[in-house]
Order: sequence, then C-alpha cells, then structure tokens
Amino acid sequence: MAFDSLTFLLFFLPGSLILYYAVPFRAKNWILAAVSLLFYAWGDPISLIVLVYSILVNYALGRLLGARPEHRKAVLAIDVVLNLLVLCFFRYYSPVLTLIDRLLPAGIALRSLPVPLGLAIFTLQAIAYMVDLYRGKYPAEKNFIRFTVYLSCFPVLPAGPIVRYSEVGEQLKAREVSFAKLGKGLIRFVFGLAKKVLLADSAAMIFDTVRALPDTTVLGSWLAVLSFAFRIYLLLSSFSDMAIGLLEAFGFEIPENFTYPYMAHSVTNFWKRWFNSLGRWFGDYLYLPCGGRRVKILGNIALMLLIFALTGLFFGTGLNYLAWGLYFGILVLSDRYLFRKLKLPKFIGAVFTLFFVLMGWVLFFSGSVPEAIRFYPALFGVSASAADNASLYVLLRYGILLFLQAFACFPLLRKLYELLTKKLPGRILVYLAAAAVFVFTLVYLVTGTSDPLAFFRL
Amino acid sequence: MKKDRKRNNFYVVFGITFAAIVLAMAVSLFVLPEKAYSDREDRALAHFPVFTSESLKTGLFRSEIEEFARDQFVFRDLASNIRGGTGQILGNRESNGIFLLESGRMAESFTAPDEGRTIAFRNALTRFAASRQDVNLYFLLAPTAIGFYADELPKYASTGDQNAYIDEILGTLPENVEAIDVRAAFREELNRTELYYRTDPHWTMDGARIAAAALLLKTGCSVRLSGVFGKVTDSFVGALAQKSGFTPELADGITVYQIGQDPERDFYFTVRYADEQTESASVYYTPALSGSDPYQVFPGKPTSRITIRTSIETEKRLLLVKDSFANEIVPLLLDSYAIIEIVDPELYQGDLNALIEEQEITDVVFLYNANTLSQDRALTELLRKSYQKGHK
Repeated sequence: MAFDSLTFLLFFLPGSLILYYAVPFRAKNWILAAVSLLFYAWGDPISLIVLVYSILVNYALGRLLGARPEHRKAVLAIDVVLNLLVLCFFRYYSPVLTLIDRLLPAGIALRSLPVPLGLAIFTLQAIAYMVDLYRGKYPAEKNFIRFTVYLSCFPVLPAGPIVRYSEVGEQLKAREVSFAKLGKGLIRFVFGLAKKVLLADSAAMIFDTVRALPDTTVLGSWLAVLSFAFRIYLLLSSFSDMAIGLLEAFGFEIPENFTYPYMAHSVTNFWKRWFNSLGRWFGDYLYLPCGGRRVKILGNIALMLLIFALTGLFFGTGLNYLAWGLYFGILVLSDRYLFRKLKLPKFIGAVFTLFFVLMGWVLFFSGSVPEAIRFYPALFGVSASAADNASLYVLLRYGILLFLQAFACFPLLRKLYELLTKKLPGRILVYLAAAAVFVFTLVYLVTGTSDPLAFFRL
Repeated sequence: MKKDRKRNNFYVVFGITFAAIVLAMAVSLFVLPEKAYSDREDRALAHFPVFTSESLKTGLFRSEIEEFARDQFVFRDLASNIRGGTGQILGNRESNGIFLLESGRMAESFTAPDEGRTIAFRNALTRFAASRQDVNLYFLLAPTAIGFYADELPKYASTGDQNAYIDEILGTLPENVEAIDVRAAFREELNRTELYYRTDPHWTMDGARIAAAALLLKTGCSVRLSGVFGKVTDSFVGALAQKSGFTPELADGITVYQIGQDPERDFYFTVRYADEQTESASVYYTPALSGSDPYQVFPGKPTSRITIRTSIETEKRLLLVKDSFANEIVPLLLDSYAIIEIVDPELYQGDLNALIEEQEITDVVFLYNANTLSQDRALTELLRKSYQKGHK
C-alpha cells in the first residue's frame, strides 16, 4: 500500500486513526502494531514473513543479550550477521544469479525475488537497537508489542527515516496523544503528500520526457540532471515528511531526515542535511566503532570510502550506486583534507557543492558507470548542440513546474508557514492553503498515475 | 503559553475537519449508488471487487479496490476538469497527446507507426486485393486536423509528419486499389468552413461532405445530396476536450444530413444492427443528443456490422470497412447504393469475402483516418484472416 493511494487515504488512514484514538492508551500500541503489519501485508503478503522473522529474531536475541551479559559479544555478532544475511540475500539474489547465469554456459532458471518493502530500513533499525543495547544505553525491550511497533511502524517503512530505539523507546511507553498533535501531524502529512504527488511525480515525468528526446543537447542534458535532482530530493523528503507527520499523529516525535540539502555549503554539510538518519547510523555504528578520527589518515580514508560505498549501496545494488557513493566519499575526504583549508565563502562553497551534487546524480540515474561517463560531455557542449526545438519545447512547457520544484527545495515555504501560524489570520491562510493543496493532490491521485518508489526499494 | 494554546487549537480544528472530510469521502463510496459507465471516458467503471483468497494472493483484490476507489470517487469528473484547467493555467498546451492550438482548436498529435506495422498492413492489403480482382477496391485515408494546423502548434512543439505518411500509404497501394485523397479539396475549403470539430478528433459534416463527394465521384456515382443539412446541437464538447482536460473557448455544433424516407420518390431505407439484431428507419441515434456524448448521434454506439438497404435501383453495392470517421459520411451515401454494408474491424470477426459474396458487393471502400491507421492492428488482422479463409 502506498501513501499516495486512495486505498491508504480513504480507508487505511482514517480507519487506523479512528481505532487508535478510540482505545485507551494501554491498547494503542496493539492497534499500531496491528495496522503496521496489515499495511505491510497489504503491499506484499509474502514479505510479511521476512518482517515477522526479523521481529522475532531481534526481539529474542535482544532479550538474550539482556539476560546473558557474559555472551553479549557473541549474541550481538550473531544478530548482526543474521540481519545482514537477510538483507544481502534479498538485495543481491537477482544481481548475483544474473551474473552467474552470464558466466556459466548453462542457463539458470531465474526467479526474480522482490525485495521486501523497507528491508534496509528495519534491518538497520534492528542492528541499531542491538548495538545500543550492547552499549548499555537501555535495557532490553521485554514488551513484544512495543518492540513490534518499533521495528514495523508503517510510516517509516517505505523510505525512512531510520529510527533509533533510543529516540522512541520512552515514547513507546508514554507519549502525548492529542488532537493537536493529530492535526499538526496531518498538516505535515498533507504537505508531504502534495510534495510527492504534485512535485516529485511531475519531476519524474519531466525527467522521463527529457530522457526520451531523440537528440542530445546541452539544454536537454541539464534539464535531465535538474529534473532528476528535484525528483529524488522531493520524492525522498516527501516520504520523510509523511512519515514524520503520521508518527506525530500517533503521538511520536522523531528527528528530521532532510534539511534542505541543496543549500549545503560543503559536501560534508550536504551529508548532514541529506537523509541524515542514514549518515548518523553509519557514523554511530560503523565509523565510531572502527575508530573514527582516532584512526591514522590512511585508515580514516579507507573507512570513509567504505562508509560511502555502503551508503551508495543502500540506495541501490548496481555498480553505478557504488560509484556514486565512492564519488561522494572522495569529495568528503577532499573537503576534509583540502577544501576546508581554502576557507571559501559559504556562498561560493554552496555553488560548488550544488555543482558536485548535480554531477553525482548523473551516476545515480545512469544505468551504468560507462553510461554516466558518456553523458557528462554533453553537459558541457562536447558532441552536443546547445539546444534544439524538442528541448526548448520541454523547457517552455514545463518551465513553471520546474520553477515550483526548485522553489520547494528551499526553506522559504517552511519559514512562511512558521511565520503565518503565529497569528490567527495566518493560521486561517495556512488552513485554506492546506485544504487547497489537499484538493489538488486528490485531483491528481484520482486522475493520474504516480511515480512508484519501487524505482529503488530500500 | 497562550500562543501555544491558540496554535494547538488551530491544529485541533485542522485535524478534526481533515479527518471528517476524508471519512465523508470514504463513506460516499459505499453510500452513493455505484456508477456503471463513464460517458466521458467511454469505458465501464470498476465496482467493488469480490474478495477471494485467490484475488488476495495474486494482488488482484488490492489493485481492484484501488481502481474502485478511483472510478467511484464522488468528484471524479470535477477532478478531471480541475486537472486539465490547472495544466492550462500553468501554460501547458499539450496533454495526453492533444495540443491546444493558438486558435483554441484542439488537435491530436500524429505518431508515425513503426515500419513493421506499416509493412504488415501493406502485405495484408496486397494479398487481399490480389484475391479480389472481381470488385472495385478503394482506400480513403483521411487527414486529421493536425495535418492542416501544424503551424499553430505551441512554440518548438512538433508532431509526426502526417502528410508524409498519407503520401506513403496512398502511393504504395496495390495496383487494383484506387486511392481517394481528399487533402487538396480540404485545403481549398479550409478557410471557408470548419472541416474539423474544435474539440473532437472527427471531421464535421462539412468535412464529411467533401470526403463523400470525393468517394462518390471516384466510385462512379453521382453526387446526389437530396436531403437537408440541419444543426442539432450547439453545445458539443468532444473527445479531445474530455481526454486532454482542456477547457474549450467555444463548444462545437453538430450538423446532420437528414435524408428522409420519401414515398413520393419511392425512397426508403432500413438500417440493421447485427450485434443488437435490431432494425431502424434512421441512420441516426437521436437519444445521444441529450446524453453526455452527442457525437454518438452518428450511427450509435460501436457495432461490428451495419446493413443498410435502400430502395435505390442500382447495381452499386458498397462494403465500407471503416473507423469512426466514416460515421458522418454514411448518411451522404444513401442516395447512391442499393446496399451499404458497414464493418468495424475492431469488432467484426467475420470474413470479408463471405460478406462480399453474400451481398454481391461491387465496391469496397476502406475509410480510415491517418491517426487511427498508423496505430491500427485490427484492419491488418481482418484482411489477413479474410485472405486466409478465402484460401483454405
């Protein structure tokens, strides 16, 4: 089930909220666990087995780690290995079999195995839980329902954020559930949904249109890069907005996942703003345990490259994702050991950062590294004319949409929202804007098709 | 604190009203009667799916319930209008392959077919034609509006070259198939009258009249238009507007050609619809004029075969193998043929040879518009099957 489906908006969400608010607090986690599992099973019943397996194994091993501290290391190691095995199996089953099939003379009968929804999300959440438990941050969660809610909570499964047990553990036991939080969360959800349906999907449409143009031009190439940059940011951040909004409606508060990454003044700063729950996860559970900055320079470089390689692979299994990750690893290292010493003004830094980020997206959307390498020259006019009628037509036809997408990548609307909600007339305006935005979103949902997140499954 | 309370009140109001509105929309899906058909989209609408373990396992139930929610959504038609209107406001002048031209006219873009499809069609027609040297064969490939108004396209927009396609098809017809090319005649009249609807892909009665004249002359008939032209509606908003969502500046008018049963002249005709097994004394379906798609006034809803018998004393008997462009032409041909057999290859499963022999057909006219033919498989398939059946 997708957030941007009528099934979710008209049936699942109202039903879940009504049940949740109707029951006393002690039953609310039961409701949340039940609707989360229903949400998951609705999308893909077979994958529910994987999620339930993860819940059972991690709950049991967590209890064991808490009960037998003398075997902490072994239990943790087993848990991490089991989690990673499942993740790698589903992620790499098809690519590995395809590779073997190409290399071996006899063909293997391949069965494509769909990756369970949110597999990387709940796997990393499970590992985070176990590592923090090992570190003694909290006692093992004995309440099976609370643990189920933590691992399977439906708002975060499609595309994050990656939630730590330390962030929500206390809230699972006691949290404020109120109509005010419901309303605040739903406003965030509505704006996130609109960002996805009205802006991210249209960016996807523009990107597909440009990629289908018969001739390569500088204008067409930049339109492809820009539309993809808008698409991926608006898509992922909209899912984070919807997740944060839905969790708030259920009484939870979690940290932000995106903070306007295209405003970053350095590549390092970009990675603090882009999907930062992932960056913090790698920082806390890989970088620091491996020594962090205390490691000598060569070791530090290797560690950073490993982290960014894994970051790339988090988003996809192809070599182009690995290359994308390594590309940023090199840039972050360059930032640390070279650029920072230049002490560039923030504005100049922001321009360069945006440029590097946009170049990085070419690796991301190209099917392969050679394809990306063939794409780059056209951006700078090599073997490509400046523009043709087809690319000019796309610019004219979608110029306003592209502007709106660009506008949504910066915090002006957010600042306006915060300013307006301070006073009653502003709040009325926000209410009407949210209503209008919701109407338009429904219009597009009823009459159109949406860009599936399945173009990469986390 | 007071500010926080006021802000919280605002959130409470939002939360409650949002939940109430969404709940109302959800309830309306079950409380309001289900709509069976969309005239606007010309298709059946989804109903609430039947739940079975099989449909749940295969995912069919999930997709069907989503379709049900979309199709039965209470403001679906309004949503389409809003979407189209929004696109127009944002400066978009192309939607779903339909251009909104400078003059406010809508025109469907032309996509050239792939070579394989053209070759398959040509081969099927050639074989069929070679096997039917006993009848007169004609091909009328009608241009659509985009063929004449391409200079009104939005800046930098482009469309396939429809004229080149028509040249190619008509220029490579089998030897015994004569081409009927109406483009020159259309160009002469283009500035004097509306040859195409502004909101619908079809030609108007004026366009049909010119095409009918060309067809009749080519097939050796005299052009006898003893009936009356009359406007039947001024508020026709056609399929291009529905499909694109664009709001037209002006609605179209529909004119029909009424050739009545005339005992003084001893002229009468009967129209038989094969699928419904019904007969009528009119070629028009007048209830459509008060419906949501007045264009259906021309021979009614799609049907595989229509047989028109007239009292005209002539040996001329016509088989018209057609797309929807022929619907407006048929009334203009009644004065010239003793029998007119009309076949829609999308629906007709029979054998053209058997029909030709059964009705002693003298003239076979294939009448298609360039847009439809470029994407068509049904005609190719019908020709191929008919040839195969004739050579068993």
